[in-house]
Amino acid sequence: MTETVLGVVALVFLVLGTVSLLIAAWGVLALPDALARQHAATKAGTLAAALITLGAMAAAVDAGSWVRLVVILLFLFATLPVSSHMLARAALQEQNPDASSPDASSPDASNPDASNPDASNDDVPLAGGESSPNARTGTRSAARSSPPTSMS
Amino acid sequence: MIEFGTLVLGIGAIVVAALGVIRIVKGPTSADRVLALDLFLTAAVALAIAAAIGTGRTVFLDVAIGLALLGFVGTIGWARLIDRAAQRGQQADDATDDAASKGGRP
Repeated sequence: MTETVLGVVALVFLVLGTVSLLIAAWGVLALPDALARQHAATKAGTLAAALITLGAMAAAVDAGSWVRLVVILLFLFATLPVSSHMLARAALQEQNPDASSPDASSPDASNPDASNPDASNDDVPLAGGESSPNARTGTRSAARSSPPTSMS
Repeated sequence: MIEFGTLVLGIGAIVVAALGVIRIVKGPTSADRVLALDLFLTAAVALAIAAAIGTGRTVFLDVAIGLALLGFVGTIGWARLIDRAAQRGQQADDATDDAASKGGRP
């Protein structure tokens, strides 16, 4: 009787965790922005890890498996938000490097050339040719600040 | 009954890994790729847990602990690398801006 109840509980938790993990992957694949993808993957992914670990705890039979599953659950709960936070900061820095560092953006504000949008649009792809991530963000910021340019 | 749950979890984790690979290939920025790698490692932990339930061996749970550790350290490292690369690129942008403004406007 108890084993049947535990089996049903384990089945429900495992299926719910799998559905949550699939929702996380769908969000990572379908959402348009980097930060939106971050939000989908972190929240649904943490929920999926918790549900799958709880389902495995309901399905496990010996004490060693319980201890290891508790360790996995606590470790994932401690580390997934931290890594997502640092990754979101890196994504923001990569998206618009001018906005997040105040000491480097203040000379840009006093510089009359940087306040000219045509000059900044010309400068960003030119300097971005040196390294590949800056080339991508440079074309993205140029396309965002001036809509008639191509979206490639 | 628990075999059905294990089967669903295994197939779902493999599908999630495939979707993560698609995002790793497509992803426009490096942060997207690292995020997809993080999701990939969560799916790997889920697959290891499914293997532990399916076979009844505790060794796969040790594999899951190792994967979780590796994913955390790897994600932190990649995030710091992207952060520093973006800052360094912006400093290079400032340097080229200064050089262009000094050379172009005498």
